[in-house]
Amino acid sequence: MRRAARHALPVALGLVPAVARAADGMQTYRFQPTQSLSTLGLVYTLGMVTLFLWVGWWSKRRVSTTDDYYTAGRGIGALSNGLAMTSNYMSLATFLGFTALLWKLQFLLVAFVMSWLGGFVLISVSVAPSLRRWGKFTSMQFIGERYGSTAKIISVLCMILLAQLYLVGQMKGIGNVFQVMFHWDYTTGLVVGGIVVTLYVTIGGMYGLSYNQTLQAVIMGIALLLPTSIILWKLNAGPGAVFPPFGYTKLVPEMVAALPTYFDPFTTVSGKIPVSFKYYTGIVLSLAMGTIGLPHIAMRYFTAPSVKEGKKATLWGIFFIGLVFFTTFAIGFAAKLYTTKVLNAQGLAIDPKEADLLVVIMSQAFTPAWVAALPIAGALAAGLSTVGGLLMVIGTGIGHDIYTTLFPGADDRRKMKMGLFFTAFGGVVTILLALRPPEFLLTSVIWAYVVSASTFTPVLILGIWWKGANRAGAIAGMVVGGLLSVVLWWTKGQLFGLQLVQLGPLGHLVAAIFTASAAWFVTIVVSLVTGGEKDERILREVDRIHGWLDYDPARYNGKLFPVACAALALVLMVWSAIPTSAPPKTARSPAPAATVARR
Amino acid sequence: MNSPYRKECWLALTAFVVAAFLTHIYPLYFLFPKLTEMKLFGFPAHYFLTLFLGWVVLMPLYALYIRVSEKIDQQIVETSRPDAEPEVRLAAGGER
Repeated sequence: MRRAARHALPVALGLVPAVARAADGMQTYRFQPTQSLSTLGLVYTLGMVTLFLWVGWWSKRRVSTTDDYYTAGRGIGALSNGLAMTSNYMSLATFLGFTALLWKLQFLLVAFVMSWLGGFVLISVSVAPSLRRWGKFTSMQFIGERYGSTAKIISVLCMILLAQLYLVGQMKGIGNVFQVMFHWDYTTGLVVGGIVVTLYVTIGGMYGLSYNQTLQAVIMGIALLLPTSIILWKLNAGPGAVFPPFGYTKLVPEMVAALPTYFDPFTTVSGKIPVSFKYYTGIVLSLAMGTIGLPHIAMRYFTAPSVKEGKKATLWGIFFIGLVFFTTFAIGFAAKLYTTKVLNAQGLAIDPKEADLLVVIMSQAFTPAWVAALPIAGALAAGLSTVGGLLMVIGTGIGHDIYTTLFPGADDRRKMKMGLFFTAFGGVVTILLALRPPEFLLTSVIWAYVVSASTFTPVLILGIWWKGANRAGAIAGMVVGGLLSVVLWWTKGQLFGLQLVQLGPLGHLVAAIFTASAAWFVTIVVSLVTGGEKDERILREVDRIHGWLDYDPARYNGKLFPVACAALALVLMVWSAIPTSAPPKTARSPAPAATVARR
Repeated sequence: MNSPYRKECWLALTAFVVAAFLTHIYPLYFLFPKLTEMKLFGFPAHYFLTLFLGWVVLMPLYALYIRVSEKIDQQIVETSRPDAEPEVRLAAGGER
C-alpha cells in the first residue's frame, strides 16, 4: 500500500491545483479530467456512437413487419440476448452510481445489487416463459388481453410513469458525463446523447436495439474490468486483481482498519443508520419483485426464438450481470479505501457530488489515459442501452398497444409506423424533461422499481398463475398500488397522518413493503369478491401459456395460492406500519465501538 | 404428485424461493451474527457468502432449473395432445 500511495500521491496532487477549504478543515476534492483523458474519451465515444448508428441503420434493412420491428423477428440467440439483457439492465445509474452508492452506503448497496440480480432470475422463473408463449410484444399487451382494454390503458400509463422516472435520470446522467468529461454544455450533451439513442432505436427497432445492446454489454464489460484489474493491482491486491469480482481479498484488512463498518450488514452510511431485518425484507419486495414487472426487462424475452432459448439467455445474463455488478463492488471498494486512507490523510474530502465520478477518478489516478478513458465510453454505453430499451417500450406501448386499441383495424405497416413515431416522440419528450430535471431524480431509478412492484408485478404473476384474477381486481390493484407508490415516496411513507412505512430515513427507497403488498391484497380480494374470471376464452389462454394443448378448468384455479398471498400481503402491510422498537437499536449500537476497541 | 401440472407449480414455487433466498441471505446475518466476525477466503464470511451464493451457486442451480423445467414442459405437451391415450391423460391429470 505504501508503494501505491507514493505512486498515487503525485497524481492526486496534480489533480487538485486549487481547492476550497471545507468548514471541518478538510479541503474539498475537485475532479478535473486531464486533456488526454477528455480527448481519448471523446474519441472513444464518437467511435462508439458511429458504430451504434450504423448498426441501427443496418438493422433497418431487416425490418418489414411488426414482429420484426417490435421483437426482432423473435430471432435473438441466447448469448446475444444474454448480453443484451445485461446492458439493458445495467444503466448509467448502475455503472457509475453503484460506485457512488457503495462509497456512501457500503454493505447496504451490496444487498441492493444482489436483490436486482435476484429479480432478474425471478422474472425468468415466474413470468417470462408464459409471456413468451403468449407471443405478443409487451407485458402491457398481456395485461390488456388478460384483463381488458381498460386495464391495458392503465398499465400503459403506469409504464409511462416508471419509464420516465427511469429515463430522465439516465438522460441527466448522460448530460452530466458530457459536461464533466468533455466540457460540453449540459444541454448540448443531453441533446446529442438523446438524439443518438432515439435515432438508432427508431430506425432499427428491436433489431437495432438488440444488437446495439449486445455491443454495449461488451463495451461495458471491457470498460470496467480492465481499469479495475489495474487499480487493484496497483493497490497491492496481488494476483487476485486478474479477477476483480473476488480479487480484493488482500485489501480487506486495510479496509477494516480504516473503516470498521464497511462490511457491517447491520448499519449503513459509515455506521450511522441501522439496517433492520424488516428493511432487508423491504429490499426484496421493492427491488427484486420490482424487476419482475419492469416492461423493458420482460420485453427481452419476446425476442427469444423459444421459451427454452429465453431461459438460456437468462443464464448468460446471470453470468454477465454478476460479472459486471461484482466488478463495481471491487472498484467501489478500492475507491472507498483510497479516499479514506490516502486522500483523507492528505486533508482532502470527496464531495458527495464527485462520488458519481469515482470510477473515472480512480481510473485517472491509477491507469494510463487510454485505459482511464474506457469507463467514460462504458458509462455512456450503459446509459444509452437502458434508454434505448425504455424508448422501445414506450414506442410499443403507445404506438402499438394504445393505437391498436383505438384503431383495431389498422394494418401491419401502419402499426409499425406508429411505433416508429412514438419511439421518436418518447425520446424527444424525455430530452425536454431532462433539460430541467428536479433533484429527486437522483434516486428516481429506485423509485421506478417501487412503482413496478406495486403495479405490474402483482397482476402479471396473478394473471399467469391464478385463473381467478379478473378485470376488476387488476384495475383496482394497479390503481391502488400506483397511487400509493407515488404518494408514499413523496411523503416518506406517511398517509393521512399515519406512518405506514416504519423503516427509518431510507425507508421510502423500499416502500413496496407496504405499497406492493397493498396491490397484491386489493387485486386478490377484489377478484374474489367480484366472483373471479368467468370468460372461458381467457381461462383457456391461461392453460395455453403454460404449454398445455388442452383445457382443464381446475388448473391454476385453486384458492390456496391467492388466499395465502393475500394473507401474507396483509401481514406485511401491518408489519410495515409497526414501529421498530428502540431496544434492538440500542443493543446493536455498541457493536462498532466494541469492534474498534478490540482492534 | 406425478402430475405434470403439480410438478410445474412446485418447480416454479421452489425455484422462486431458492432464487430469492440465494440472492437475499439476510436471515443468516440475523440468525448468525458471528458470521460478520469470521473470515472466508479473506472476506468477512457474511459478505463472501452473499456474493458466492448469489452468483456462483445460483448459476448451476439455474442451469438445473432449465433442464428440469424443459422436461416438465415436454410432459405437459405430451399429456395434453389431442391424440394422447385417455388413460394416460387421466393418470397425468390426477384429479380429473
